[in-house]
Amino acid sequence: MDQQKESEILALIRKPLSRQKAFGLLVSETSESLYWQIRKMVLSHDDANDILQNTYMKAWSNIEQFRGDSKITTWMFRIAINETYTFLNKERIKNQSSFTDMEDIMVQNLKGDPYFSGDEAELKLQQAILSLPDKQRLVFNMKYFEDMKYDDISEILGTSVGALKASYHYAVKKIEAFMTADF
Amino acid sequence: MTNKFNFDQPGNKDVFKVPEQYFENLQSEIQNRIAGDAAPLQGRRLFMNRVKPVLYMAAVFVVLLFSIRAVLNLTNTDKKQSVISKIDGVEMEEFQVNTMTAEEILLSSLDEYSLMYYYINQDELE
Repeated sequence: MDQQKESEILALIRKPLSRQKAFGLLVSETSESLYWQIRKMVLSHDDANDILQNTYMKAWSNIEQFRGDSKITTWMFRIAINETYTFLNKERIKNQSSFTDMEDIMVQNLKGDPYFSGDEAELKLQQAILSLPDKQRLVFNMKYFEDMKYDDISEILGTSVGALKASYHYAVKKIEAFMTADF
Repeated sequence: MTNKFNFDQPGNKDVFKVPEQYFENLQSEIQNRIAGDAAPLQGRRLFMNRVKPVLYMAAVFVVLLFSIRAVLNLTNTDKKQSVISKIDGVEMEEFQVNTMTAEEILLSSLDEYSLMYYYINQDELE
């Protein structure tokens, strides 16, 4: 979303009478990018949909507290990331008693997912990405799949550009090692 | 397995799909949820606006009640202390009354006849 559109939406959000309509505009402007960010972390469409809806409901209930210190899209991204982490942590706790890791379950579910059409190599790539720590996975997804600029990622995650580049570099090394290893 | 992916280029997102019209439907779904959420929020605010003065009054009343109780407790404590000191004074007097010399105790146990006998026949007794 460009700066002008963001300012327009923000101005409408500040007025109680136009707030609901402005929020609708915000949803239409951000839903795709937020969805794909969440989807790449949780892999399942249903889970991504739930998290995305929770993200918007949380944003709506806190919209009056948004002071404009950061871009509204950055704020939305942060909420979405927090919601995703909360979901993943809950899933890990749920699977603590199970002998199978949550990541393995996610890969198994992806194999039968009607909304995934990847081949064996794509599946293995997802498996490799899942072996990364959550934050590194997020950085990798933002850069590799969403082709986001390091400056934008830095603004959302509050991490320096240098640290992000290093994180991506190490993520790629780990994934390449995983992909070429024979199991 | 060899790696066919080039991580210097943006990756292929197309392997992930969404249901048809998902994003269009999502927007109206969120709008419906917001509309449902907005009404109770306004309702809650109206209710709070009505209740606020009563709550403030109740808070003032509670503060006053505690202040009065605290003042009463202070004055009661003074009274209690003076009562205690009075009781202490009486007890001290009683204690002083009760402290008698051995001679006084001996004399108090003798009747008038015995005393007269003691003084008249003092030589005999010695």
